[in-house]
Amino acid sequence: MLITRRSKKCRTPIGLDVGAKGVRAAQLTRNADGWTVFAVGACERGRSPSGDVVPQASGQLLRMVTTPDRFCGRDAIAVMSGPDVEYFALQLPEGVLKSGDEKLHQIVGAEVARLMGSDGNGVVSHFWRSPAGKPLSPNVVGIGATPDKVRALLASIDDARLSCLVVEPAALALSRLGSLLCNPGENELWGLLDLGARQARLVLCLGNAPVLGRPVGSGVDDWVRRVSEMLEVSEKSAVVHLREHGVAAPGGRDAGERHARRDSLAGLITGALRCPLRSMISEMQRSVSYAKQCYPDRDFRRLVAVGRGSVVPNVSSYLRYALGLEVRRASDFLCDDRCRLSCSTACVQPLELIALAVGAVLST
Amino acid sequence: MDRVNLIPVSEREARAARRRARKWVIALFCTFPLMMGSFLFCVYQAGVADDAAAENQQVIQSIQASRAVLKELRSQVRHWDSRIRRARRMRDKRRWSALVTRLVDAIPTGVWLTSLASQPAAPGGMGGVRVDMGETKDGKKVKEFDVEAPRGLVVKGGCVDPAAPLRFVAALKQSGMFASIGHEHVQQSGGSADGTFQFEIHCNW
Repeated sequence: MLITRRSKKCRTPIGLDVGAKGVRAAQLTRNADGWTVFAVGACERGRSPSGDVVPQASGQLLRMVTTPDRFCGRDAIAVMSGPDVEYFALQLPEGVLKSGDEKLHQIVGAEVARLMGSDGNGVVSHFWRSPAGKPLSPNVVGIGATPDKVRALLASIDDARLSCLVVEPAALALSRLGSLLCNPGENELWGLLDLGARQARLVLCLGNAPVLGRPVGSGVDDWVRRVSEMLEVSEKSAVVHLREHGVAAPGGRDAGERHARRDSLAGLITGALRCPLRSMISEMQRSVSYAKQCYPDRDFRRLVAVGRGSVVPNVSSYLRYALGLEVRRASDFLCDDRCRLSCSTACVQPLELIALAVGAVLST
Repeated sequence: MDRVNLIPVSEREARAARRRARKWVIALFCTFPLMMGSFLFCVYQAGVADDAAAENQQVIQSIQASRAVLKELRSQVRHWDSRIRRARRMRDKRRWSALVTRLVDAIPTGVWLTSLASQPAAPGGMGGVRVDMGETKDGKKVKEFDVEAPRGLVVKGGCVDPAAPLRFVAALKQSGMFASIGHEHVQQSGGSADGTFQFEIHCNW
């Protein structure tokens, strides 16, 4: 309680991640060593005994989560993630790039609307310049979202009696969190894999700037459905199996991984997920290959995994084996001495699940 | 990386306006009790000041009443003082008739008077005691002169016997009318062959 009463200057607004499966909120304070997550709230959308999703308004969930005894203030920053927001790596002529930001915004807005198959008024767009790479490589990242989705998100936040200051694309929030966790070099190419409920998204960054955001496969909901079908159990049971057994780690060396390999249930689950995992891995390889083409003199070695799917046991080691990269869960970085993010004892949720909410309120 | 805000500009402006309005409302809600408190305090202070002013006014009125009483008393005192002084002056007036009677009784045989004069000649009005009576309402200084009757008496006369003036002085002393008989002077009349003498006696009474 003492921490939550910190001055307004030190504490951030409330970071909100309103997802398909539930809502998550986090609030941080800034201190000399970096950032501390001092308040966390999460709530899943309810399910009826038959397993059907009970429609429950996001506003009500947010109100349940952001109680004043845990969170300070009413200002909030929300994150909008895929598929509600889309990213487009655009290659614009140098002459256009040199024009003012306002004109560039108009041009990018028109291009994003065209790519999204909408007229200019049907899309909310924004952009940021990506670092210079090989000639004829993308130099602008345009983002687009439908105004209805943004307004729906704002309405749910208003219902919770919060004041939304900013709605930010997930890629930026994730890149900010990843930068804080793994301290990448200015010219380092690295990535973030968000294994969400609806979609798996890959964000590739150069230094602190996201240069590519791309959906790379189905989300955990699809995994659960496949496991449920394979094991002929309910989705609720499938979730429990997925959480407890995870996937079998191919070529694992430590005792835990050997144990997982021996676990026949993990093998069954891996079999059920083989198709989406392979599809995801190949899509990721394509994206990484494309990024390497755009920035040929940069190495790509690291991948940070966040989201609901990243807490499935051995998923990170499976990806590490398949991609040949250093794949670590976000919470693995918290033990590093160089990491400038810490979680207070009040933080009961794994960092992977609140990654978007935390990343939303981080500032450079 | 700078933040990217996907809230549409029109929505952003509307929300900013709403936030500003909310802040104003909160500010008003906060300041209203403060202003009311200040106002009530001022009213209370004004009441206290009015009470104090009324109290002061009462004191001033009582002081003014006292001053008026004192002024009245002062004028009475002055009036009585003047009456007392007048009475004193009256008391100090010489009883000339008694003096003349005694003087006539004291004149021995063979003595006659040629002159009887007071000294100083007039009452001491001009050279008497000047009393400052203060100021009048219109700021004029009031001065009064304490009139005092002459106390000296110069008796001149003639006689045949040079010892007669001595008898005359003795009779005057005996009459008890005079406090002192200061000076006596006897001389033979110059150039007169009739043998008479002139004398002069200075008395105080």
